[in-house]
Amino acid sequence: MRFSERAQVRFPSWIVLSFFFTSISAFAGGGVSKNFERDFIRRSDRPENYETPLEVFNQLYTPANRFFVRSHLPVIPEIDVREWKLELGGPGVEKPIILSMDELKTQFEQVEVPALALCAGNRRAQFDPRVPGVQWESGAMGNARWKGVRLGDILKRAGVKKEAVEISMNGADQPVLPGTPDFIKSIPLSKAMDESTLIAYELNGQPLPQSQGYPARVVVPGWVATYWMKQVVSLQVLTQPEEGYWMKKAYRLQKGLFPSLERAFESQNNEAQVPVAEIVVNSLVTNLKSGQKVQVDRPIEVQGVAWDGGHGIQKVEVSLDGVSTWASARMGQDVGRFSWRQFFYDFTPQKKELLSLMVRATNLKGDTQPSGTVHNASGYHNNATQSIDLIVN
Amino acid sequence: MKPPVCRSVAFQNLFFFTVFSQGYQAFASYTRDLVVAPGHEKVLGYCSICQSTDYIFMNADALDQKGWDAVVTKMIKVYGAPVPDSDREMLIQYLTVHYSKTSRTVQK
Repeated sequence: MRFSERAQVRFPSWIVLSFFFTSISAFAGGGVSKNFERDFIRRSDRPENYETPLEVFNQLYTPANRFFVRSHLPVIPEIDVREWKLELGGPGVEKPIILSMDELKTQFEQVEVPALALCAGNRRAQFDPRVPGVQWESGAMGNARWKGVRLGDILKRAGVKKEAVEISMNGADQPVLPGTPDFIKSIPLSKAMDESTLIAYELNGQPLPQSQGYPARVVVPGWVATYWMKQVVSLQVLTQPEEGYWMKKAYRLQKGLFPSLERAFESQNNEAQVPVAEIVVNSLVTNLKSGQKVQVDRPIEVQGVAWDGGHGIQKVEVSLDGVSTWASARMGQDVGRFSWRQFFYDFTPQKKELLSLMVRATNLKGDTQPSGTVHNASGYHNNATQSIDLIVN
Repeated sequence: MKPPVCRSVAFQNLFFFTVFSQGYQAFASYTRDLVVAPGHEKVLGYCSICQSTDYIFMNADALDQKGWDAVVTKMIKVYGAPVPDSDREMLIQYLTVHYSKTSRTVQK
């Protein structure tokens, strides 16, 4: 390599290459905010993968600065919103358009949708045997009010040909190496046209922070967050299913594991596998942790959240006796079917013992949580009934 | 294209030092150090191009030799890691010996 031949200092070329690329990504990526270490539980700092501590989930809406951060690629540019453009093109569009943020905010109806963003790999660390990947515990999710424009309204403006099948989405994030596939996802046309699917620029009434995809991201309520493309810059209306790595190889599940979810994205199904898409019914206790000590004869209010892919929660049940009997929890306010639903359950432990508290959600379709995980090689959709051991003394 | 820094060795050393120090700063101070053992410089050099060493620590409990082989192969074949065949085995060996569910070296 020319540099190490002519420099006085001798370095093997792989060191030169590695530091060169690392420094490029450090410059472009903007480094890691010190606040991330304080406000989150780190899984990796590069690419940024940080989850939310459990107690934050006692709030109905997750504050932006505690909202879990997931990145696929390490180079995340800081975009000037005055220069940001959303391009809509592709073989399935009648007339391609390019929108600025001003045009987005003034030429379309503005809507706000409360919706849960949930990583497909949430609770991956809780599979046994362990599955490789980002080892999320329960904190790779967040509930927020998302404000923006309906993706469907933008598609109607541009006109969609009858041969269109999918909309692909590309964000401004970049890989370091030229050989790494760019992060591109697609959704079916029907989901793109859903009235709740948005190009969002606000979270809980404030502009998206950088960590959540400033200046705009796609929001696909009811679907796992891999589709919620951050820093979206390009949409393509496709007449054939998207073929890229992040659709064809990544984020896929063996057929037959979650049959009720398999019709969500049929253009991406093949003989053996289906893409992860719709969120599976699930629940989480947010104010108690396994191993926690509680007082005998003192009332306890269990608090938590339950959610699914948008059919609505029918009930949340609690068992204190090792699943022999279940009692219904009290449900909190219903702010919309794509938001999680808070639940509350009061009881008073009567005996000094190790008490097993279990929680199970059922949705309006009748889907409920299994008692054990549905194990899969990628560690997706961990929705096993949660069990918390409380030490009553 | 001939890079302008090749004009003088002094300038080239300065460029090199700048690149080296920026690269060093890219490693956050709380990211753990890998066990110092044969292969660790190559693991650090290749793997740090795209990601922090957090991934190695995080996945140790989930992977054995077969698992690390599959991961390293995926990094090369799918994500384009510039690892020549001559280094591939050493990376898998290092990760298996020090960071797998069957073998672990505890850093003091």
